[in-house]
Amino acid sequence: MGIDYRMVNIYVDAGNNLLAIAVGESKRMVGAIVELDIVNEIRFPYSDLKLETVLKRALQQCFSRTQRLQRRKPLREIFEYKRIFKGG
Amino acid sequence: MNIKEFSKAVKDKKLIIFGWDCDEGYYVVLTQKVPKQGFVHIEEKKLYLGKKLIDGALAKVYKRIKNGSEDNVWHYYLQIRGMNEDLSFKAIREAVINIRSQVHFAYNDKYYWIAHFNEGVRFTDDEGNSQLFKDAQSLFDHATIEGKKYINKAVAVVPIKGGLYFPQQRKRVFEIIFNKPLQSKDNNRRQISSFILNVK
Repeated sequence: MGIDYRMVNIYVDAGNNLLAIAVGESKRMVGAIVELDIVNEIRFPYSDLKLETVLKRALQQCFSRTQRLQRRKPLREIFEYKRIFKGG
Repeated sequence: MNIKEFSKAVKDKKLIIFGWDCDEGYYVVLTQKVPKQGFVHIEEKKLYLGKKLIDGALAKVYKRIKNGSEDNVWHYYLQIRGMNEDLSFKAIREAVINIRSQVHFAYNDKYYWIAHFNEGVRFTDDEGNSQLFKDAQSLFDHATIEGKKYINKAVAVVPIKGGLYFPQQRKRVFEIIFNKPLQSKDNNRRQISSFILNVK
């Protein structure tokens, strides 16, 4: 089956840092589209070229794997968000 | 990660989506947080980059979407596709001739429509009169509006700020200026009509 669409969610914080997260299929809920566990981080300041390269790469990562059960590692993911956004 | 944790993690963050669709090509869209629905796309703030990604365009469009200046999107679209805003009537002409765009416009409160068919190109008004041409080039050369060959004399097309915008159909209303170059805005209003172009 060919892929008809791809999507990258870009989270932007107040300090202009970015998290680009590709989406893919969920393993638990078949057919559902969830964010994959691949986090592309772009820290401010960044160049246009870097922004484009990272976003294009993230777009290619879409549907590259199926996302496993998310329930097993809830804290790790939230930690990931916190670490990147708060710099802690 | 459950919903509470997620909303805690994304508190005071913006979400911008960069995507690709097999029908429409690449796009960047801004989302808005809506209570109980999460992030919802704002269709007015969706910018299409076309089917082929041009180097440098993505970063520009991303910044534009992020900074929230959505007016004059058309100008921007022309810019990133390498077209000149001053020549935008020409650009539209090219679009009609080369990529068979469908064009709607108004002149003197009458609506006109250019559409491509198998047998040629049809130029129709809202009263049902239609003129058929074998190709778009001859339409621009010979089509008449109110008995005059107006259509080739348009000198500029200006996007209407905050004008009608149909994001789903990717149409944008334009003002089309016939005959005279811009002098003062009020004088020109009478000669200006709206112009809708299917952006492909």
